[in-house]
Amino acid sequence: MKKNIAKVVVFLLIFIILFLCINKILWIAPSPISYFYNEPKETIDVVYIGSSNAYMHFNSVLAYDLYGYTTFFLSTEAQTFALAKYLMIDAEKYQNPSLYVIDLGKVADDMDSYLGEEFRKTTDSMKFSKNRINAINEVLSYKEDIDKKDYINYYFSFLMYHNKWKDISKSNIIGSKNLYKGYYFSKLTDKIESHDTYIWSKDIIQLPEENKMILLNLIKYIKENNLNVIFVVPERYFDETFQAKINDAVNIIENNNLKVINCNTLEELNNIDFNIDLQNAHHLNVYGSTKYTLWFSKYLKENYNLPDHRNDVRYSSWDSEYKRFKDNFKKITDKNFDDLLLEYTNN
Amino acid sequence: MNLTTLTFLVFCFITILIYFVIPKKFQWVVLLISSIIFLFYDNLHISTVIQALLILIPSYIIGIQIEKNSNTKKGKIFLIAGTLIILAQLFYLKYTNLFLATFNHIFNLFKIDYQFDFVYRNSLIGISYYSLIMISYLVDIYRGTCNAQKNIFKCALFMSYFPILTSGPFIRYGSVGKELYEGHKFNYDRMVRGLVRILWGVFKILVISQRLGMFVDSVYGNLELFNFIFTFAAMIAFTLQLYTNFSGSIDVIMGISEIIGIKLPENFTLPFFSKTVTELWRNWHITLGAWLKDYIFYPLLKSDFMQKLNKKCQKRFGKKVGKKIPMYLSMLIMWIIIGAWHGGAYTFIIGSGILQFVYMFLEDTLGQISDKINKKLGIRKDVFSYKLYQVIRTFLLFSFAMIFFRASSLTNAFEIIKNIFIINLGTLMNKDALLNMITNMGLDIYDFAILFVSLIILFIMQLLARKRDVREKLLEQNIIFRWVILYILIFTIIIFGCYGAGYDATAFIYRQF
Amino acid sequence: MEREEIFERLNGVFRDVFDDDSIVVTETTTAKDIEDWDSLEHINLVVAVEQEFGIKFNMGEVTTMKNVGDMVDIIISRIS
Repeated sequence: MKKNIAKVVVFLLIFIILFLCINKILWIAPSPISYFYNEPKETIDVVYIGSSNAYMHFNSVLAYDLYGYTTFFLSTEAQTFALAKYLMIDAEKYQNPSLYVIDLGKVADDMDSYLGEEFRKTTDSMKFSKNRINAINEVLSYKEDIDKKDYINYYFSFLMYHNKWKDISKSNIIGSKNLYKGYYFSKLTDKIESHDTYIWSKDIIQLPEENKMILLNLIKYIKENNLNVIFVVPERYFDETFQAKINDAVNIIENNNLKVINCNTLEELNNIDFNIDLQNAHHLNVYGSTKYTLWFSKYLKENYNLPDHRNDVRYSSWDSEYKRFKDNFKKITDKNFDDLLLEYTNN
Repeated sequence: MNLTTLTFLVFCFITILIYFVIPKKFQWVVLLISSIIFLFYDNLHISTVIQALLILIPSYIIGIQIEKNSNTKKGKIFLIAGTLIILAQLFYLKYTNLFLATFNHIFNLFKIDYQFDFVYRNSLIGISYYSLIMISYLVDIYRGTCNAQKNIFKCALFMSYFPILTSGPFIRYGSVGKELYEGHKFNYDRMVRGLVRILWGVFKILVISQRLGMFVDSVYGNLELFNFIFTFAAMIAFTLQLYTNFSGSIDVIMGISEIIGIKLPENFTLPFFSKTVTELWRNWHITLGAWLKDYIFYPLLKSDFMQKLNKKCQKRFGKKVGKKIPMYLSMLIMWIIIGAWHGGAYTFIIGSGILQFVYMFLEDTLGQISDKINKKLGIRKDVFSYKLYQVIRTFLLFSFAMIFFRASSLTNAFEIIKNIFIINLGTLMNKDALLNMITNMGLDIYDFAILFVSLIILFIMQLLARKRDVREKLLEQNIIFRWVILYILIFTIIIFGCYGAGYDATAFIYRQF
Repeated sequence: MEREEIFERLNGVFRDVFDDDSIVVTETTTAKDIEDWDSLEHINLVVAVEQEFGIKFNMGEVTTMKNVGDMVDIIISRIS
């Protein structure tokens, strides 16, 4: 009898161990957010939260090379704004960043029609915890057509991704060490038609109720925990309705005494030319992103208390990633990145 | 509740846990409560409760009455009444549309300008199983092969024992009844045996059947894209899908019951090694065949009408041929019923009914002729090559009939058949068309590889199972070997199983009954 | 009627139904022992036995009899 109980217990223990191992090996988290939890403690200075407007606009390795602080992107493609608070909770738990940059590109997106399955890329990369479950619960609550029973498919990533063994050979996340520390660049240029007439609207349209609540909850969390935060409206094309809703969001943030910048209305970023600096209507390309980073990284250094790790050997991976970036930049564009920097700083 | 869901897993785990904690005397109550929960899960309405009671209460009362009046005319009247009550509900809930469709066809034929609309009737899970099981209960009481259950709650348990609600097998009160009510002590070895069987069943369902289903659905859903090779492959694949799905479900059901300590009759005994379709049906869905034989075929054949027909035919056509005629007639009737049981649509009546009869008829008649020819030509039937031919032939014939079973309509069935038999060799040369077929067939190269390997494993297991109890042999081995095999099986299911949001939920087929 | 005699007469019935003059049935003969004695022929056999002995089996007996010995038991109980 005792022997049988022992057998069962040992069998289950071995099963759990095997399961966790396989979980680690096979199930590729869909975004680099998963790397966040492995970063050594107290090494992330800035956490940049947002969608692709975050990691395509801000060149974190360049910022490091210029000023020595590290930036980690808790951002995924089309990341819903509702997840910002939960990512901050994890960031507070695992690191202790001096500053949060929160991208407002998705603040006005309609919660129900837009969501789709894309938020999974984010939540599946978050470490399994009560916080992650809360995040999933909130995001799904905006979706009317999902049965509560099906929530479990989202809690446990492997239910969705257990067939990712197919992608092991094609994977570039496993083994690749978070290329350029999460920064992503494109050399494409896509001119948008209304460039010449792109003047940011001064109108205000109320944010949808749900979005407003999400923003206010986020602000409440920030204030309760006394966090350093700067909100950023990314430099890109938005249609007029969106501009007006974003203006509402900006007002709400300012009324709560938190810092917010709208790149589209900033004098200092007038050097960004939508004729040559856009990858498409929604993103800057590498040229636009360099211009933005040159200004923004300096702005952050001057206004926030950020350390300089450039002589610290523990941060050498940032140097090597910056070098890798410059090498690949040369390969892709046939130009020298240093020359580009010179050109931009002299203008 | 689907058999291969987390919900069902948790449900079973809790049920079994409580079952072995409760004293033996009340264990059956645990089964009853679980069965009620399962029966009404996601389907608790006044209409469904009434449905259940309308079968249970008459069966219970009439069962007792039949026993009181056994061997009298009154008893027979009770039996007929009880059977009619059960059948009436079955027809109302499951076959109304078949009747309406038939009328619609007739109206079309006579150019009457009226068409019935089809109705949707919500029936309880397992209705096609428990209806026939309760009829067998009443008949067995009448025949004296079992006693009536005097406790209405115990009677309810017999009617609704939850593993059976999903896909059978058909149980008889005489043998399974007392096992349901008597208590069982927890037995570690029994639990292990049951778990191994459940694992094997889940492997068949999630790794093989669901994957085959993706392929079959893609090809059948887009016939114009595919040439005869793919359609033929889909035909074969569906047969295998059906088999692994159904037999896998049975494995899970049997495994659960084994853990509890309840022995149920087997439904499958390696059917695809059969040399004739007749033999196949002795090894496929065995309990359905047994039910039909004991409650339809034999009574029919033994009836006065058939016996009179027998005499007349023997007089007219001679003894040998004469006695076959009532037999074939009874068989035809039986097969039409079997076909209809599978579904209230003509595709089922033909595919799993009339066609099967045709096969068996031809095997019986042509079989004798071919035996004579073989003898004259010196063709041996006892050699491997001949047996191989027979096995393949049987499998192909069965698969062909399954086209009807799977098709959405008779027209669809004929479309599929046409696609298979129009051997357009030209499409083989067209690289683009072929590439198109491969990319649209619902499986990528990895799925294909998994399917290939698992089908080989299945085949090897079946070969081994012919001569031995594979499970027993596995459990005899030393602990390391056993555990390695089990871990491989478990993780194969976890990693390669088709479940979760990433896969289409091909609801398992025999559950619609 | 003696058991022996019943077996004698059954031999005749079996030989007739299965068209095989070499059949000899015993207490333990089952369907497995005789080629052609499958579920289809079972009823023909049963009816032939009924006619031979002027008795009727009920369906319960038809479906539960396991071997010829069982059959003989029922025959004896009917004719005595």
